[in-house]
Amino acid sequence: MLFTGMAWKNLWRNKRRTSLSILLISFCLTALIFLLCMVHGFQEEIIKSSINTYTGYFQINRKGFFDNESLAAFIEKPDAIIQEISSIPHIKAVTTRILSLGLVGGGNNSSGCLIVGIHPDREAQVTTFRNGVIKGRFLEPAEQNAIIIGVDMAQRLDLPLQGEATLLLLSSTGTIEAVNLQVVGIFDSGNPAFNRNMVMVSQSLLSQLVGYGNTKVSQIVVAIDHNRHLEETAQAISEKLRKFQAFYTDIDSSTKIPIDMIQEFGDVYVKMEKGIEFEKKLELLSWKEILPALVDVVQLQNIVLKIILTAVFLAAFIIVLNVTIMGVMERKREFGILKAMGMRSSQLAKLIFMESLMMTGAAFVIGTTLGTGISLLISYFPIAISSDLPLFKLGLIEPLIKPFVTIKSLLQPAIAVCLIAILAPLWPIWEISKLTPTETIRSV
Amino acid sequence: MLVAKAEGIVKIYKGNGLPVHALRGLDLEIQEGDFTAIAGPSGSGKTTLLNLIGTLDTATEGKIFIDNQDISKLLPYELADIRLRKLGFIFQFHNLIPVLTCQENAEFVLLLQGCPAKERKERVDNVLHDLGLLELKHRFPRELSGGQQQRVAIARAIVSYPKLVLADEPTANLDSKTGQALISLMLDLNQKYKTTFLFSTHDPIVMEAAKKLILLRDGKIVSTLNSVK
Repeated sequence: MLFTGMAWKNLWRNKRRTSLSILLISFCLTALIFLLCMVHGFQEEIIKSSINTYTGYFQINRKGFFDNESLAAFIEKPDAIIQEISSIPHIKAVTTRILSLGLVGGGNNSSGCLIVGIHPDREAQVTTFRNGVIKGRFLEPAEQNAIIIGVDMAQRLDLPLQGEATLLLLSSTGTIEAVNLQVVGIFDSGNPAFNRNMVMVSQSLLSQLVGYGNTKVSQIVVAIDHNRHLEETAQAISEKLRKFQAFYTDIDSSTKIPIDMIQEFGDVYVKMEKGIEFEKKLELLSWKEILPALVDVVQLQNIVLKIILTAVFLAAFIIVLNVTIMGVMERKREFGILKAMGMRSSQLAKLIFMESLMMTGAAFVIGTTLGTGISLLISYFPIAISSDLPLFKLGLIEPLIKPFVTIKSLLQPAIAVCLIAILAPLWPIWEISKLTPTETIRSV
Repeated sequence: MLVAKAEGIVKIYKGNGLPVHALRGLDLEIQEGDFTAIAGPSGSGKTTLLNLIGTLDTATEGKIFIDNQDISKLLPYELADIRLRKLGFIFQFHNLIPVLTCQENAEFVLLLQGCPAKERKERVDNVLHDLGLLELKHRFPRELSGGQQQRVAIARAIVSYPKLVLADEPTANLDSKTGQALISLMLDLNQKYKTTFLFSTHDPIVMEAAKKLILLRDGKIVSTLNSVK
């Protein structure tokens, strides 16, 4: 109490200097918290958008599936797996997909494509792909003669809505299958690659074409309630998948592609070699593994944030250091008097330390309250910004400033302020502790 | 009873230039209840001697005993404890902590000593009453005259009943009337509380009031006069 009271009084000797310093640090902290919340909000939006558009939070595939995307890498009887993992907390919805490479033709043009066979109703629970349909409609369940295509593909193949598209693909048994389908929808997914190269048909149709007989799929896609539950859910799914691994080592999954085939389908270059064998295990991939570029973007942003955080930290550190040094040096004689009265150097250090702690503490309360308050307010009432920026033109995120307040957004500045409070007084304390009582008393 | 003793004290200041001999083999004894003044021209070593006895500085040679304890080899925190428990200081100016009131300034040493609140209040009030400061106890130093400030410094120096109060030219910044009043006050305290005072001074009033006067010149005691009054 002795030191607390005295430190508080000492702090307000020079009201203007202390107030200004507290305001400056508070401002730094407010700006920093808002910036962190804004960038975290941006990251949250872009991750959510990328995941919800197509990827999902998790995909379960046969190991190595993404290296070849071959029909040989199928998941047998996925319903058992779905039933097992659906009970895991935080899992919101699960769907299956069949993926196959093929050729889509319209009029005189054709293009290589990725054919995705979906359950339209279950897909809508996992992704927001349905919202990307800009002309026509989304697929209906078990629709046998309908296809939806990307906006760029429609343009390139000159395929209008209700036009007839021919789908050509190689089945798992090696036969070439072809079917004429009606374009019921044209989508703009926000992803140029999807718009150019992807088509969607009902899973029942594709299963029939590739020879999966409604018992096999290429992948299981999982949606969870929030990205913060990613790690724990991944662990839970992996646990559940363990019991199926034995089954997958028993079945003859090493179906071999019967022919050597190298084809160039438009922009997609597909190489299929005879005799590819797939590992028999199931593999769980989170969006972080599926979209490493997105992870890199987030990491890059975090590095930039750290640089900004360091710069603001240094600025605030210099402010506190300056105030502490000035406050200490102009009181050198007073410290001599205190030493003469029997105060130990450690007690003087405690006093100076408390002054710094109080100043940064006051700034912390003001800065955190303002930073959090402003961020929360704007998160409820986002600020619209120009949608002309290339980033927003992709349609992945809305052109809004919408901060996302997280513990992390508050924790980093809090740690920075604590460090300032601890580090800034060290030098003045060291300076004053070096002086003998007579040296300090002589100072006026 | 011996309160402080100096044996063969030498103090040499080693600055950037030549070494300066501030004290040259000085012996001194301060008995309980003494009211001693050290006088001498500027540079004679008065303040240096006071600082050494007050444990604020260390001697180059010789030994100093406070309350029969050799302080020559004590660590800084042990010296701080000696100052806290056995010594009181009154400086020439800027004596008080400006952010603390008279009462808080006087109370500060007792707080450092860990004295209980009730006893603390009683002792502070008694001393402030004796020094005629009770009415001013809630005032800050800036709201007091120079003489009043020095009285608060005296209150702070004696409130913990130290063995020895060291006063470095306590009247130097005061007019003669206030200086006289202050010395009378200290004499009263010397008699009432048996507080031992050791002054360094130029002031004839203080020299006249002292029961023992030590004259210093060039770092040596040139004469000691008893009962000048």
